[in-house]
Amino acid sequence: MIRVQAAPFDPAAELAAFAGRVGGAGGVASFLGLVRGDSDGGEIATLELEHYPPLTERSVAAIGAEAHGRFGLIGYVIVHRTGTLAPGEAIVFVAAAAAHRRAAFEAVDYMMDRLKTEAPFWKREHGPNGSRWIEARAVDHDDRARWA
Amino acid sequence: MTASGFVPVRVAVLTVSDTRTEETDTSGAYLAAAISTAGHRLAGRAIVPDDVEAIRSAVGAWIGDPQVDVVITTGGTGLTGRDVTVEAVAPLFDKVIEGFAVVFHNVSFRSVGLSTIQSRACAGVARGTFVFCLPGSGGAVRDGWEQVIAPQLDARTRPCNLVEIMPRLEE
Repeated sequence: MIRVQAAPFDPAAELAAFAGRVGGAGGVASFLGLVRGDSDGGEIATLELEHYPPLTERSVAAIGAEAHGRFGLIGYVIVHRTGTLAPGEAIVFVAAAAAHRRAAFEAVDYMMDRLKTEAPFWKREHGPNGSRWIEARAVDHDDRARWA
Repeated sequence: MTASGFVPVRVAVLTVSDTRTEETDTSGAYLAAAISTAGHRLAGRAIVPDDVEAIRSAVGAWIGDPQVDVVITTGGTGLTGRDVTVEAVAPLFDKVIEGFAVVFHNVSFRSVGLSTIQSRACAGVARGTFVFCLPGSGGAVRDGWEQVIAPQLDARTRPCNLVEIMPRLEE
């Protein structure tokens, strides 16, 4: 299941709901991404995320579906925020359920690496010194390349 | 060409990047989707590294192709040593569309303020084909497409647009 939404979400409730509907799983691994308070040494006041609905949901859904097949998951969930977020706010929640823990851990890692480099979100950082577009960093592309 | 009504044009998209692959080329994927959504036709799509020869030969092939009306590049317009899209493409221009850079920076300034000066976005006419060079950043690409290129490639845009003068580019 994937959701791209402007509304804030409750990570604990997402995890509990997900664990409740993956019968037969031996484990659930999850990752919660938060808006950081600084970048490149500069302070961040807000992070603004926009998306392009015809492209973004399809891309996020494909990432989930490919993780499902690749790691033999029992289930997965991706929740991604859009809109204006403050430092500390939950921006992305990813969870995977599998028969054994290794597949669940790896699937979460895989989905995050692909979300960071492939999902079309426009991230604009606003700080005291102005604004700028945020792009995936070289290290994000290196992480993504591990799964080739 | 009629005076009213949408006219689909054929647009090729070139992503210039040393690191992006077909899967991670989000700016190119956005442009391809936005071009089709607008009702135009995607005439081609490719990714080349930040290399003058590679960029020039890809753009050169498209401007010589009668099946391509517009070329949009994304990436390589910055100021670092690896940014060579403008150096690769500008020599192909028969005419430079100076106003494109002016308007793009205006739009981009509203989006990100002074950060826009790090981009050398440009456009020109080359062998009867419009060529637009946008930055690689996804947000800048969207601003450039939505607020400048898309309305100018819409034959319904009044009082003037780029589509209505296409037949006269090579007269």
